[in-house]
Amino acid sequence: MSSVLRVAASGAIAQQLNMETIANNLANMSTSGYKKVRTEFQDLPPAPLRYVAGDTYPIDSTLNDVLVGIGVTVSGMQRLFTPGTLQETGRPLDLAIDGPGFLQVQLPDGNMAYTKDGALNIDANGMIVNQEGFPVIPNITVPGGIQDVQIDHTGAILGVDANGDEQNLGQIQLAKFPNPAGLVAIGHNLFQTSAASGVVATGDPGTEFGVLRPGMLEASNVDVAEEMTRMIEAQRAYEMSLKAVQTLDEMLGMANALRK
Amino acid sequence: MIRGLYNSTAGLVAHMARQVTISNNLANVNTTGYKQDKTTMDAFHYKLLGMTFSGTATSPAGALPVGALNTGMGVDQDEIDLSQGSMVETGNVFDLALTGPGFFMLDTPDGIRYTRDGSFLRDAMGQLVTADGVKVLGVDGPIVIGEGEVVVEGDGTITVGGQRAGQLRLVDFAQVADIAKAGQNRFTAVQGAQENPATAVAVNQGFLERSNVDIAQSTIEMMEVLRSYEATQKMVQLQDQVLAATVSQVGTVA
Repeated sequence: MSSVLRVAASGAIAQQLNMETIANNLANMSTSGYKKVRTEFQDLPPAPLRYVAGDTYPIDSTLNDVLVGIGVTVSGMQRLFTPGTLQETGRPLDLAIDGPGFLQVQLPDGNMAYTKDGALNIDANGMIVNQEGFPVIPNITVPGGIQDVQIDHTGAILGVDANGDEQNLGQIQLAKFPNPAGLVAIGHNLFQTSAASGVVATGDPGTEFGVLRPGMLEASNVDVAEEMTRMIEAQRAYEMSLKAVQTLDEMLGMANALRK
Repeated sequence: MIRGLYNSTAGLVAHMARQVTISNNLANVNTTGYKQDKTTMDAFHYKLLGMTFSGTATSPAGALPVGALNTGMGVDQDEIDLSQGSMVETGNVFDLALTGPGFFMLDTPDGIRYTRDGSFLRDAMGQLVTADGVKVLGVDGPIVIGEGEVVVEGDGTITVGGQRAGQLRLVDFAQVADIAKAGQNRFTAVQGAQENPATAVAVNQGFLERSNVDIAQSTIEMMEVLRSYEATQKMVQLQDQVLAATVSQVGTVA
């Protein structure tokens, strides 16, 4: 009998996970390059009603068994790579990617990671790094004496020295994937590849990989109005499932009270 | 009397099953493309009652039909309510929603399945798949989507960068009894059911179809079932009291 409570409770549990996802999206609404996550639900396969402990499933019966749905489950958390708005910062080393490409960085363990967060810095050794200090791939080193670094929309990095002479310091490359939703988030606005994301392709910024917008950053693609609406839906769905649990509980209580 | 107890018990079991169905609907109120179940009850067979009489010198013993008595009720298979769920705009290129009767066709490892849940992806090989990697079928088989802007027309035609990449296979069934739920937001065809090309359906890109569970309706039904359960429970208790009186008091000599 307690299994009937689980049917109703599955709704409450699923909506709780939904709430956590929404809360995480809202917490990251100002994180540049953040991509919102959507919880996906699926109903569970129906089970036969006349189920007696000890029977094998499916029940061997000449009667057509009545099948009843047994609740909901969270089938996945899909990350949505819709573009965020591009915001002007005026900082020459801020890059927004207008297109499907990602910046490549190298983690301390040697693995590659990808990001949409283009707030770059020059570290003490003159290497171009991201906010965490991870070097951008392909490695670009700014020689001493360069006073001003500019990156243009093709990814070409120009350095201007004290005499006003320009030097070409290197080229930013972008990476893209057949299925960005298959990327694995590892925090710090970074993603890593998985079997689901497909084979990475790299190239210069342009029409295929996306144009660079220097002096701008891509904002989080979280839409506050949308998240608030989903939060209300999640809350109502949670309430309804708990109502169902309460009602079932009352009925079970009545069954218990049949015979004192 | 015992017959009455069995009737009431059948009622209790049936109401509990209805409540499970309502709970399942409510649990799935946020599930994309979910279609709610409508509970259906069925009466058990009627039993013909007779008044027995003993034989006399001129006529044999027998029974005179008195009338028919219902022997209880049970649940019948839930009917799927295929009414249209409301649409929500997501702006996602591979989110597709259907308006009108029809289903997407999926090629799963367990066979052909049908769904209204259009939250699709492009997998690592460029095929159009569901979130768990099941291929979505087009008119000519699985659909491969290359690089470029993906546009899905209302009739299911998919163009990538202006080039035609395929057309979604949209099917429908003659009656709602031809399909059954298979879990994971999918339906399966009942034995012998034939799918037909769907004619009255349109595909909307960037939208998802919400669950069609009617919360108000479900809440009222839940209250109704609770009170029916309560009334039936009272009947069981009442019959129990009568039986107790019969057993203990009838036949006692004052």
